[in-house]
Order: sequence, then structure tokens, then C-alpha cells
Amino acid sequence: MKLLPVKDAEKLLRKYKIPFSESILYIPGKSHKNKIKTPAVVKIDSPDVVHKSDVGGVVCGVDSISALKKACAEITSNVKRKYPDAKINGFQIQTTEKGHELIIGMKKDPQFGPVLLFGLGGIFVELMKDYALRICPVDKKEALRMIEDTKAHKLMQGLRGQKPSNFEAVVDIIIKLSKMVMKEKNIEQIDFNPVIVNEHVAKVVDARILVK
Amino acid sequence: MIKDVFYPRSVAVIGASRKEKSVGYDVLKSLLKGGVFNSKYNKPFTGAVYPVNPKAKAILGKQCYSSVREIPGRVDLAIICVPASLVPLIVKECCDKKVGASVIISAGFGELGKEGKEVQERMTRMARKAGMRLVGPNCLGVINTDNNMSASFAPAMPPKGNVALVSQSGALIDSIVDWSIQNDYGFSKIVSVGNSADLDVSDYIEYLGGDKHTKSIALYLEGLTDGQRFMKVCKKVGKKKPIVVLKAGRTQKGIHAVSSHTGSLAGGYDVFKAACAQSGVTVANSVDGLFNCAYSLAHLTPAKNRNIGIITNGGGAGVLCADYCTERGLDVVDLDESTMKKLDATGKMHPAYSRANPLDIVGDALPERYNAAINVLMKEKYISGLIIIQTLQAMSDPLEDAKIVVKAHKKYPNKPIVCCFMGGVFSYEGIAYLREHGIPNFNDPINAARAMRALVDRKEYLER
Repeated sequence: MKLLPVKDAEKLLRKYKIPFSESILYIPGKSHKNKIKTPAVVKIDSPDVVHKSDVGGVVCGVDSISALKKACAEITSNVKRKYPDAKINGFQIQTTEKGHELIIGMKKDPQFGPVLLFGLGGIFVELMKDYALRICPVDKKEALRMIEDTKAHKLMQGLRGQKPSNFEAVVDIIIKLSKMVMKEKNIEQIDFNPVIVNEHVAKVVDARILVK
Repeated sequence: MIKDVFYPRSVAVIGASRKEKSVGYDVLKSLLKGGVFNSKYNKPFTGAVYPVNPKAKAILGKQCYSSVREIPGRVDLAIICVPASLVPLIVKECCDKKVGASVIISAGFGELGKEGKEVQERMTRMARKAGMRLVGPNCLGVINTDNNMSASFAPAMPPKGNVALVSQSGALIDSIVDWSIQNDYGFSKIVSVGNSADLDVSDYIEYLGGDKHTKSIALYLEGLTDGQRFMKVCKKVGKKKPIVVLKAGRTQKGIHAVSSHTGSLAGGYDVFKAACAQSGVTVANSVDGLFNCAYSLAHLTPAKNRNIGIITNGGGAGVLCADYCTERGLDVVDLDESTMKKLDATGKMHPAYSRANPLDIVGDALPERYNAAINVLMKEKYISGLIIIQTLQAMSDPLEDAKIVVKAHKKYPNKPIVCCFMGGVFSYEGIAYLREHGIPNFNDPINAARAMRALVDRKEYLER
């Protein structure tokens, strides 16, 4: 299995109309026609790094161009410490989204085929283990039941005066992902983590797609 | 045809043996007498039986044939128990004879590795071409209590009943049959699937879906070859009949290398459970659980919702049961004031009865007090099912209490009653009476709670 480069992953998401927070590939020293909006998240873009946070490949809350340059230098030195020969394409810059962090993923099961996962996202996914699974295809009703099976459901309803999240938008991502994995046979595993949801939108912030 | 597996008019035992304690002898004896061991449920098979053994004249008083081809007339089912090396030849003979289906008991095929698998596949292709279905190889055989057919080397014939068992373990069937005789647990059909060279778990589920003697299907599974088909068949059959599964190999790690969160979280068993939930299959966690659930679902109507009443003559058992119910997402619903008035009005309640759910009707409860309490609660619209506990007090009358439960079961056909008559020798008559009338009884309240939860899940699935 190999990790799909960011640009190819984004192309796939666009093809299936899955909303994601667009990123700019930033290469220090090069001029960029797209204006960089702050505050932003800066992430390593390297085919050799699967779990970016684990190697210090993500810096949040970058609010100026000088901070951006500093962040890139820091990430480079972090990554090189763990993977001295890692190929670095550049740095992904995304405008920071506010909301709850969810995970929506897929794995191919040898007996049942594509299986979707929905749950509480972010870096504590495997610690919290709050998730539901469904065998594809997953329709709207099943996607909603999937959300209801998790604690993330309560979070999305709004705790302690928070506004409720946009459920429709999350359901929409789940069913679009189901369509995508039923069609794209070479995809083996997917993590959309995090998917940020708030009262207005749900957006994939980080898409990791593993292909055959 | 798959029908020939369960309803043959004539059966040939190929590899019938004169040697006691050999498979070829036991299978023949099972067909002729009903079982290897003596049991009150043993009865001879209703169809014709032909032993095939080229060296023997007669076995167990039955004339032997030197080959299946020598048998006059049609053979619907052949039971093959010769050494593995001879099986392909025998299968060929059966194909030539136009046998409807064969049960290959012999081991030594796909389970041994690549070479065995190739032989198995070649044999299967040959059988399919001739229109002959195969059970096994490497299996215990098939039991149908409807026509007294034990085409197997199981210890004896299980009681007649309405639960069907499909098992990927043959040895488990042996012990379950032994247990079923002691506990009067009835089966409609039992099939040991073995290596599933031709017929597999999904085929049997599909067949049992149309079997009028089967009201629920219990599965013991280790692995599936086609998960998508399993789901499809379960969704279809599950609309008519409940399916319960016990899966072994739960802690096995996924086959694929793990490199995403989804990959590491969605382990094999989690995925299996998700598939079952989507197809309305109840997942049991133990052998007990499998048969308890299958029995309850076969005999009782599903519960309309999660609001459950508990009647008990012992405080401790009632509280335990309430805990187990609550832990399983059932609602031990608060009783209305009006319900209490109705209970008071019966004039049967003890002054110190609990006036709450669990309804503790106190240790000195005689059958008439049970009767009054059951009727009041069953008539309440907000209660969808009842768990009735009887601890054995000096004044208890288990048989009379059981009769009252059976009456209520008939009077309120739309609400399930699960019993928990706790005890042994002194409660036996009552427990046996409940069993005779298809009311599940469990010694441990946790099993009553599990059964009730399965009845709620069933309704929720059917209404989805």
C-alpha cells in the first residue's frame, strides 16, 4: 500500500464533491500567487510521512509570514530527525477551521469489502475508541444511525450551550465516501481525520488515502 | 438438490463398517436406530437405508451393496465415510448414479492445504456438473428431527423443536446434542458444514428460511468466504426468521497491514458485528447465549419497546435483574400510581409489596398473587414485556406458578414473558412445564435480561 500524494487525494475529493479545506502547497523561497490567509495550520507534505503529528510535522496557529517561515524550519528539523532521508515536497497551508473534530474513514475487509468508520476524531482517535462501523454501501438513513451510535453524536448535538452541528453535512460526506470507495477499487484505506464540523459546514481537513 | 440433503427418501451409507466405534458403523446405526447412544428421542429414519461395503454381506441386519451403482432404484442422499483417497472415485460413482446430494464426512481435503484444496475443488466441479450438491467434506453430517434422520455420527437424536443449527464445528454439535437431550431443547435441523466445498453457510440459511419447522436459526461461525452474500441472505431470511450467531476467532488481527486509524480500529470482529447489525442478525457471546437467544426468539413475540416489567418474590433477584436489564439498555419502567391502585384492588397483595418496578410481591407469594400481579402488569399499555422471577421459598408452588405463566402467555400473545425460576430439584416440575410450553426459563437473571434485549432488538430491526 502507498500513500496518495496530497494533490491526488484532493483531486479525488473534488471528483466526488467531498468538501475539504483547500490547501496551498508552500515551498519556501518560491513566490506564491495565492495569498496565504492566517491563522493557518502548516503541515509537512512528504510521501514518507504517514502520521504527520507523530513526527512533529504539524504546527497550528500560524498567524504571520514570519511565523510561517519559522514553522517550516521547525517542521523540517523535526521530520529530518526521525526520517533523515524523507523527501519533502513542501508544506501544506490550510486556513484554520473551528468546530468539532471527527474521523470518517474506510478500510477494505477481506470478507465484507469496503467498511466505513465514523467517530470522534483528532489525535485521540485510538485512545477514545468512539466509533461506529458500517459495511458499504451506506445510505442516508444508515449514515445517520452510524452517527447516533457514537458519543460524537452528543457532541454534535451541542453540549453546554454550544450550537448543534450540521448533521446533514456530515451525513453527506459519509454517503459520498461510500460512493467513492464503491467505485474506486484501488483504494485500500482512508482516514479523513480530522473532519471539522460546526453549525454551518463539515469539511475534511486532512485526507490520507492509501492505494494498492 | 439441497432438499435431498434434508428430506431424502433413500440414503446410501458408503463406507458402512462392521467395526463398532468407527464412523462408518456409527452413521449406519444412527440412521437405523436414531443414534449411537441410547436415548428416548432415537427413532429409525423414515426412508430407505442402503449400506455400501464391498466386503460385507450385511451390517446391523441390513443387506450390503458392493457399490452405490448396485443399489436398485434412486438414491437421494449418499453419506460418504471412506478414506479421503477413495472419496473422489466414490463421488464420481454417485454422479453416475445421479444421486441428489452427498454428505462427505471424510476429512483430509481443503483443511490440509493446497493439495487437498485442489482435490476438493475438482470433486466439487464434478458434482456441480452432474447436479449433485455436496455437504462437507470434513463434517459431522446432517440431522433432521422431522423425518428422524441422523445422517451423522452425532451421539443421538436431539428432541424435536423449532431451532435450526448451522455449525462450522462438528465437535460442538456432538456436545450440544448431548446437552439438548438433558435439557429438552428441541432442534428442527442440524447441519455440520465442514469445509463448505459446495453448499456453504449462506445456502443453508436460505434453505432454512423456507423450512416450516424452523422458527429461528442459530449459527456457529469461524469464518466466511463471501461476507456480502451472507449479509444479503440474512437480510432476506431475517425478515421472516430471527438469526443468532456465535463467532469464534474474534481476537484475530486483520489480515491487511495496518497503517491508518480506520485500519487499526476496524478489526475483523468489529466489522463482523457491524455486518450483523446491518442485516438484523443477533450476535451472541457464548454457547449458552447462542441457544438461549435462539430459543427465546423462536418461541416469543418481539417486545414492542424497551419498557419492561419485572415481577419477583425475592428482593435480591429482582434488583439483580433490574441491574442486568438497565445495563443492557432496557427500561425497567416506573409504575403509574393507577397501576398500584389496580394491584391494591385485587386484594391479593402483601401489605409490604414493593409498589415499584421490580414488583416485589414478597416471599410468601402464592400462585394467586402471581396471577393477580401478572394480569395487572400485562394489561398496562406502557409495559411491553415481563420477566417473572420465582425464588424457591418454603411456600412456593413452582408447578402452579408455571401454569399461571403459561396461561398469561396465551392470554397476552403480543407481549413476551421470560422466566427466571431459580433453582434445581424442587423447582424442576415448574421449569419442565414452562419448557413444554415454549417459555424460556433461565436460572440466572442475566440471561433473562439478554433474552429480553434480543426480543427488543428484533422488533427495532423489523421496524427499521
